[in-house]
This record gives sequence, C-alpha cells and structure tokens, in this order.
Amino acid sequence: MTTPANAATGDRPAPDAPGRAGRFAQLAVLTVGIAAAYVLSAKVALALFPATKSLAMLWPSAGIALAALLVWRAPALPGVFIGCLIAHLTAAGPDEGAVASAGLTTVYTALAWVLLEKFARIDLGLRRVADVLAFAVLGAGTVAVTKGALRAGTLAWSGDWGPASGLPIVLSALATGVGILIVTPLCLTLYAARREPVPRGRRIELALVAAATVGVSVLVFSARFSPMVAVAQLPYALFPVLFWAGLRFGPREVSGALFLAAMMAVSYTALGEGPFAGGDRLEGLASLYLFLTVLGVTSLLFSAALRQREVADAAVHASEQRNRLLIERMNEGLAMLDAESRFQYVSDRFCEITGYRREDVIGRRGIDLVVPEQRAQWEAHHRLRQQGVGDSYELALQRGNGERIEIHVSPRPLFDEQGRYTGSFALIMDVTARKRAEAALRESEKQYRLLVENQTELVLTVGRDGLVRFLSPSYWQLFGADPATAVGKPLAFEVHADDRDATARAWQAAWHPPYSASVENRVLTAKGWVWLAWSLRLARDERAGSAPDELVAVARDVTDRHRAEEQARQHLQSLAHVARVSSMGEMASAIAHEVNQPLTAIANYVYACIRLLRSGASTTDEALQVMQRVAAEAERAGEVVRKMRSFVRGDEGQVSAVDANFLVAEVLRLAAPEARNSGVDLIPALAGSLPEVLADSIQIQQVLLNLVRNAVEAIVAGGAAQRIVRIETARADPGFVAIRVADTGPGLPPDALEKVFEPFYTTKADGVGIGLALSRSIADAHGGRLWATCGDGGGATLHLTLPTAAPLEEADA
Amino acid sequence: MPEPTVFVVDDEPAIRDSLAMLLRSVGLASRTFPSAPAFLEAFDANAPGCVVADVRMPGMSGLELQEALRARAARLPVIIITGHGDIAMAVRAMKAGAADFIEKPFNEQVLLDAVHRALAQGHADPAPAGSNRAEIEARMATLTPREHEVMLLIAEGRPNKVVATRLGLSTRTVEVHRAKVMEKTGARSLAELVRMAIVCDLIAA
Repeated sequence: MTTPANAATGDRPAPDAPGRAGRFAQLAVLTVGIAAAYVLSAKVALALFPATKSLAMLWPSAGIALAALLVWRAPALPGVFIGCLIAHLTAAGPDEGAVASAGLTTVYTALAWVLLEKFARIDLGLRRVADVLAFAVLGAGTVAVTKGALRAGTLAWSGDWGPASGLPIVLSALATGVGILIVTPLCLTLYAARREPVPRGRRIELALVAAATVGVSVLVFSARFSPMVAVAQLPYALFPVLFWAGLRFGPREVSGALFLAAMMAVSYTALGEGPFAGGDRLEGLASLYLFLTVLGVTSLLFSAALRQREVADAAVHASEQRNRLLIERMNEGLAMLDAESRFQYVSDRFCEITGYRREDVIGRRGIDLVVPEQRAQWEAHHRLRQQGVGDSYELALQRGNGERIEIHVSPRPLFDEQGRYTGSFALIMDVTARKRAEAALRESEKQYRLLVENQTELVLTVGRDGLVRFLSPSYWQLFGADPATAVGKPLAFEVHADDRDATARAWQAAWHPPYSASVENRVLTAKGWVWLAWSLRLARDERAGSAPDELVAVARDVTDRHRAEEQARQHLQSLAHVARVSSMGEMASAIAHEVNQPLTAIANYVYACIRLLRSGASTTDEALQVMQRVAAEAERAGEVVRKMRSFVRGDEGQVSAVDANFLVAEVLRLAAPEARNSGVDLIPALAGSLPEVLADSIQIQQVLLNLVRNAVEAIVAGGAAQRIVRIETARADPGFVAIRVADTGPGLPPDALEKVFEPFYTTKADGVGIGLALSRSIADAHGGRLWATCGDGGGATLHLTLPTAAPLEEADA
Repeated sequence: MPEPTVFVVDDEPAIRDSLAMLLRSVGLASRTFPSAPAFLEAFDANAPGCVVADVRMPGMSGLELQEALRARAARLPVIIITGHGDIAMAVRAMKAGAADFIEKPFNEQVLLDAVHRALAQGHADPAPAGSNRAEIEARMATLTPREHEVMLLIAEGRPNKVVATRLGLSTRTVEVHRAKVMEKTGARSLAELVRMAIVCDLIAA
C-alpha cells in the first residue's frame, strides 16, 4: 500500500488478510454485487432510454464496471465479466456471441483501468484537473474508441459489415463512453469522499442544488414547456447550476448533479421530448452526447480546478501562517527593506526592540533609525549589501523614545533574476544589555589590571600543587625578573633562614579554616634582603560548588617600617642603657663623694696626729680628741655605706614570683644589639619547667644586664677568637634557681674572684668598680648569692642564685 | 713680714678641721673659712700665704673664688682640691692660673708638697712653674706624635675613655701612652703635666 503507485491512487480498500475461505467469500460477494449492479443498471437503462432493442441511449453499466475496477482492481474482474455476460444473455435481441462480447467488454474496461491507474496515477476523488482530463481521455475515450474499433473489427472479420453497420457501432461506442463519463465520476467521488459527509448546515443548500438541477432539467428537457424548448441553446442553463455545485461543494456533488441532469436529459430525449428529440434522431443523439460530454468534462474540470486551487491556497495559507508564527515568535526582529532600503515590512518583535510603531517605520529609510555618529558606518554596510555581502555587524539605534540601543544585525541581500539588487531582509537582536555588560566587564578588567599592574605590592596566586599561576608586574621591581618566567613553577625566592619556619607555617595555615594567614619575612631580592609583609588567603571562586584551589598572596615591602622599628627599639634600648649607666654612674659618683669626705678627713687627722705625736708637739689629750674625730668620721663613712645598702633594698616591695627564663629572655633582648655590634654571640641555654623565683624583676634584670654587659666587654677587651656569652638557667640547690653567665674573655686571676665584688674594684680601664658590688648586694637582698668562678675553657663565669617562690615544695620534690 | 698663712676654704667642717690640724702638724699657720664669700670678706691682699679651696662648694665654687681673687689682682696662689671625676674642672682651674690641684682622697705628703711649693712661689713672685721652659720643651719633643696627641687631650682633662674614642684607640692603649707621657715629661701628676703644657703654650692658659 505504500508503493508510489498506490500512494498516488489514493485510498483503496486495504486487502485484509483473512483466511482462504474468507477471501473467497469476499470475492464472491464482490463478484455478485458488481454483476448485479451491472445487470441492474443495464436493465434500467434499456427500460428507461432504449436506443435499439439491445442498446440503451446511455450505457451506465460500463461506468459501473470501470469504477468497480478502479476501486477494487483485479478482484472486480470476475464481477464485471459475469455481469456483462448476464446482461448479454438476457438481452432481448439475438446476440452473436455473449461470451465473446462479455470478454471483450471486460478487456477494454480493464485496459482503461490499467491506463488510468498505472499511467495517469489517477486520484479517485477527481480533485485535480489532471485527474479529470486523464479520466475523460484515458477512461471514457479509451473505452469508447476501443469498443467501437473492436465491434467494427468483429463485423468486418465475420463479413457482416454493411453500409448500415457504421452508425450503430458509433452510437453504441458513444453511449458507452458517455455512460462512463456520467456514472463513473459519481461512483468514484462517492467512494473517495465516503468519509466526508456533507456538513449539516449545508444540506439545505445541497438539496437546493439538487432541486435546481432537477428543475432546470425539467425546464430544459421536458415538452411541457415547449415554447421555451424551442430555444436549442437552453440546455446550457444547466452550467450555472453545476458550477454552483462546483463552487459551493466539490467533485462529488458536481458528479451527482451531472448524473441527475444526464439521466433526465436522456430520459426526456427517449420520451421524444426536449431539444435533442425533434428532427433527425441520430443527429439528436449526437447532440445529446456532445452536450453531456461538454457539460460533464467542463463541470468536473471546473470543480477540480477550484478544488485544486483551494488546496493550493490552503497550503500557501498554512505555510504563511507557519512563517508568520515563526517570525513573530522569534527573539530577533525581522525587517524587509527595498532597494532604496526603505522598510517594507517589520515584525512585531522588530517594533518591540526599536520602540517604533509599524506604521511609523514602514516607508522610512533604515538609516533614519541609526544614531547620527554611526550613519557613515551604516552606509558602508549598505554598500556592501548591494554588492551581495551579508556580513552581520553591530550598530546603535535611536529608539522611538530617544533611548539608544545596541543591536546585532544579520542582513541578507536580495537580488532578482537579472542580478539586480532588490533590497534586503535583516534580523536584528537587542544586544544593549550584553554590550553594557561587556563594557562593564572591560572597565572592571581595566581597573583591576591598573590596580594590579601599578601597585608596588606583589600579588601572586599559587595552586594547591605549589606552582605559581599569576604574578603581578611588581615582581619585576622586586626581583628584576620577568614574572612570565616564574609562572608555572614553584616560588623561587630565598627566604631568610630565621623566617623560614614561620613562613612555611603561614602558607600551610592558609589552606585551612579560616583560610587566611599573614606572616612577615625577609626575602632576598634584587636589592638585598627586604622585609615583606604577606597576607595570604584562599581565592573565593565565584562558581558555586567548586572548591577553592588557589592561594592569593599579597606582599608589601615593610623594610622601612622594620628599619624604623629597629631604630626605635635601639634608641629605646640605648636610652634605657644610658639611664641605667647614668643612674649607676651618678650613684657611684655620689657614693664616692660621700665616702671621700670622711675618708679624706680621717686621713688628714691620722697623718696630722702621727706627725704631731712624732714631733712630740701633741699631747695625749689632743691625740685622743683627734681619734674621737677620726672615729666619728669613720662612722660617717659607715653611714654612707648603710644608706647605699638601704637604697638598694628600697624596692623590696615589688618582689614577686617570676619566671627566671623570662627575665633572661628580656635581658638578652636588651643586650642583643650591643652584643651584635661587638660581634659577640649571646647563646641562651634555658632549662625547661623551672620553678618561679621570688625577685624584683627590674633589679634582677639590672644585675643580669650588668653581668652580660661585663661579659661582652671582657670579650671585647680580651680580643678572644671565640666570642660567646652563654646564659644558662638551671635548678640549683633545693629551693634555688641558678642563672649563669659564662664568657670567653680573658678570665679572672684566682685572687680577683672575690675582689671583683668589692666596691671600686675594677678590671676595666674606665670602670667605676661598683656594678658587681651593687649586684651582689642586690643578690643578697633577694636572699640569693652572686659569685664568680673561672670558666672551664678560660673566661669567667658569674653565678647568680635566687630563691624559688615555693621553697618547701621544691624541698619536697 | 708676717708669717705666711694657708687659707683653707671648704664647706665640710671635718675637712677644714683635719686640714688645719695637718698643716699645724708641719708648723704651718692656717685659717679656715666655711665658704668662699667668708674668705673674701676677711681677705687681706697684703697677707702672704696660699689658698687651699674645694672646687665644689655651695654658693661659690673654688673656680669662682680663684677668678674673684684674680679680679682683685691678688697674687695669692690657689690650690684646688677636687673630688673624684672632677679632673676637667681642675684643668680649667689650672688654665685659670691655679697653682696646683689635688684629687681627693689625697696623700698628705702630696698636699703638703703642693702647699710648700705654693708658698715658695708666693715668695719668689709668680715665676712660671716648672721654671725651665726650654727643658720642658726638650722633654715634650721626645714624645711620639701619638703620645703628643694623647698628652694634649689628657692635659685638657679628658678621661682616658674619651681620649680613646677621639683617637680611635682602645682605652688600654691610651693608658700605655699616658704612662709613657708621664715618664718622658717627668710629670709626677696630672696637674704638673697640665702646667707643663701651659708653659709650652701647648694649651691656652
């Protein structure tokens, strides 16, 4: 059923696939039905309008046979043959050979069927002009000609051909041909349009058509209105009626009206009435056939043509509908412009985008919508279009409300067959938002770039793999190398050994919550060691759900700040140092003066006394007086020393439990700059978990500072190769913590080990000789001790012990 | 001619008293004054002798006293007694024309020698101390350039530490140079060295 031949022939009954018996039964029913229809129509025709005893004026059976073959094809052949045979056998007149005659009839009918189906690929609905023409010529024509030729041939062959033989053959052929022309279309269209019932609302009109057909036919063909019948051309009054049927209905209704009209025409003619009945009978019949042929072919053609046009129109309409829908639903606006680039058509979307009403735009030139500064550009594109270039471009338009919009234009130039430019159509898209976003992005990118490229801070990003992904141009300034060469590699600059641990810790920490860290370190740059302050954080990725995998590091050169801080610290330290030294110096000076006075007086008295006694100039009384004065002055000197000691003890109230390690660390911090300047290393060796000591922090720090400074100065004075001061803390006797300061200086002679603690004893060229004496008194005041020993490898070691805050617990431990 | 008298000016009673006793023990007459103004009040330009004054005194210092005496055209020699660390002041006193200076605490012999010298000087009119300039200059000429530099700074009363810093030497080296200077010039004290430098016009008097 899906072969091309079948497809073109429309819907024929699908051969079901029932059983053998079923198929036989179907064939039998079909055969009986067709045969019955054939015989019945033949009998009716002969009864109604006989031409001769065995010949009707119109042979409808031929039409039924062809229709049956076109509808049911080969299975209809038996029915046609049997019906034809029965009709011949039951005919009134003698028949030379009924079987032969029926066979011939079947053959030429089948020939017409094959021609129509195989060559014309006829549509059974007769909805196309080509179908109607094919049906008329290949169907009716073939049958008529073949029948006539065969009849004539048979007569000539049997030798029965006479002068009178020709006319009956021609009439018989014509009767058959016109029979097909009138009956077959009705059968075929009824069959083809069997599922298209006439709508309820149109049935009245259909009845009117039928009534008009009958009415006009009666009027034209019946003898009752003979005065009118006198006009031979009156039958043509049927044309309007059939055209009505054709205009308002389809081929089926036209075929029906045609059938009605033809039956009535033939019947009245047979009755001897109407325009075809008078005068010569043969001439009348010929006129009748001619009339029916013209009427039939014309009205069928007319209705087919109308129908075809309708279908074509509907197709065009549907396609137009589709296109319009497409155009209006499109996101792009569509415009068609003529050769002068005037708007001929714009879509609704175009109006929406441009903000103009359609009537405002149609007839205007495209350039009128372009913003003034871009009109030259538009002209250039227009010229390109005329040359057939349809490249898309972007353009700014002035909207109906004065706004400026950016559009993307995709033009397509149009040319006629002669190659002349006839205009163009263009799709436009509103890209204002996109352009704005692009501009904003560009601007922000520019700002960002400006920021990154012009800042002195070093900005870099590092992936989880430790490889550099981005380096700001300030890398140049810092390292004198192209940032591009460092990207994709691990960070390559050298970090100061003292800062490496802290740096590594910070970089590790930044990968964990709260995902930020900062560190300051010294980095070896093109201009030497530079202090950098790093701020590290994980890059927040705007894409949702993606884990951050990039560390952003910003480094600022804080060398100046560090230098200033260092200077400030050193300044502060030197101030502290000056303050300490001067307070010590002042104290020493004051003590010296205070002690000097009584000592000088004592010396004077004693010397005077000695001289006087030697010379005998003095009396014992006098000497006793002098001795009393000497004793008084000695007591005064002792008073000075007591005052000094009480001054040292003065701050006893500030004694508290402190960590000896903390005291040492503080002192080291204070002494470090001076030691560094002298090229002496201060090495702490602090015991872990020391009990706290009872001490006045400031006094003990002063003592320690004094010890460390003495050690450094001793090393410098001694010019030793090894320049180290070791400061140790350790547990000492139960309830004490020892702090030892050992130097690599020249050391002390054994007899000086105790002397150094005597006031005004000094081994230093410019020493006052009071530091250690003071220090010892401070140590004593704390309940601790201060003494000196010779170091293991030369040098001197000063030992300071201080009582712990909880001596009992210590003792228990 | 009245007996020369040693005028002792000191704010400290014990010093005054003990000095007076010391002077008496060697047969020198003395008068004591608790302050410079007290002495000036009782001052008699014609009385021979010398002054022993503490450089540090409340109200009027020994130096000011010396200047006051000069202002009165008194030719009384002045011996300045200084405390520890007042060397610079003593040098100033020397430049101002002091006969000598003595550091406290002092050896009694040093003081007595200075007093005797001053009294002798007062008798023999102000003959320049160290008398023989040519001899002193010859001794000065034996100093190495470095020793000469050290000598100049010492004579100005600079402590060793300052000398060391000024010359870029260690304190110890300065001490060695100082000892050499004293040895070569024959100066027995810093005061003597200062006087020698003044005699040779090496430092401004």
